Amino acid sequence: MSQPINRRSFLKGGLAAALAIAPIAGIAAAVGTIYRQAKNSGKDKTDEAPKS
Amino acid sequence: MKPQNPKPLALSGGVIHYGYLLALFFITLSGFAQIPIFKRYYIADIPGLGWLAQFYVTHIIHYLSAALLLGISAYRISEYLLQRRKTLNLTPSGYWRGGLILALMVTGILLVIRNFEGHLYSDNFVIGLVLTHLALVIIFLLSVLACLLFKKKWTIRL
Repeated sequence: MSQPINRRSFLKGGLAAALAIAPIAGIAAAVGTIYRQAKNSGKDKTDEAPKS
Repeated sequence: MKPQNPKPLALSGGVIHYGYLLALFFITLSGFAQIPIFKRYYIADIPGLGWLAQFYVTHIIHYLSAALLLGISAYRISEYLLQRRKTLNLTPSGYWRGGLILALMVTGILLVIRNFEGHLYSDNFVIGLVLTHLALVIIFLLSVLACLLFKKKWTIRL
């Protein structure tokens, strides 16, 4: 017979998982933001009006 | 040619800065709540602060704040390495505070492992870990206070 999930150990595992995921999320956020910034700055240059 | 200083990332100004302050406040508060000092010194008897005496509530807050702090640190380090390494340098006080945060994270992670069943730590090692974690927090908070008083910044522009 399967054992019922212990609420406390489930919570403990969840919190430990949050700790493990947090740095990965931080790195992903930085890379994503830098990529978006680089993409937008490239767009600004191409959108510049031609000099007459 | 001198490298141009890139604009700080969109998240850097507001969310990251205030997130860091929020995480630092709650991680310190919940950490001291687990000593536990708020019940002992009747601070938890102040209406609205009763939750400071509930071990599992402060334990969860400590873990969630730690996750936030880890995420923000990872973001800041990635931002620095990928974009701002050529234009910013850490000051000696920045290295000092960064080192203290790193040591706090290492001892904190070891304490998280201690909270799982089946760890192989000896009793003396656990006592040493807890005291080191506490000593590091006190040194870090005093350093932060000194840096605020003497207006020491984390980084300097090259």
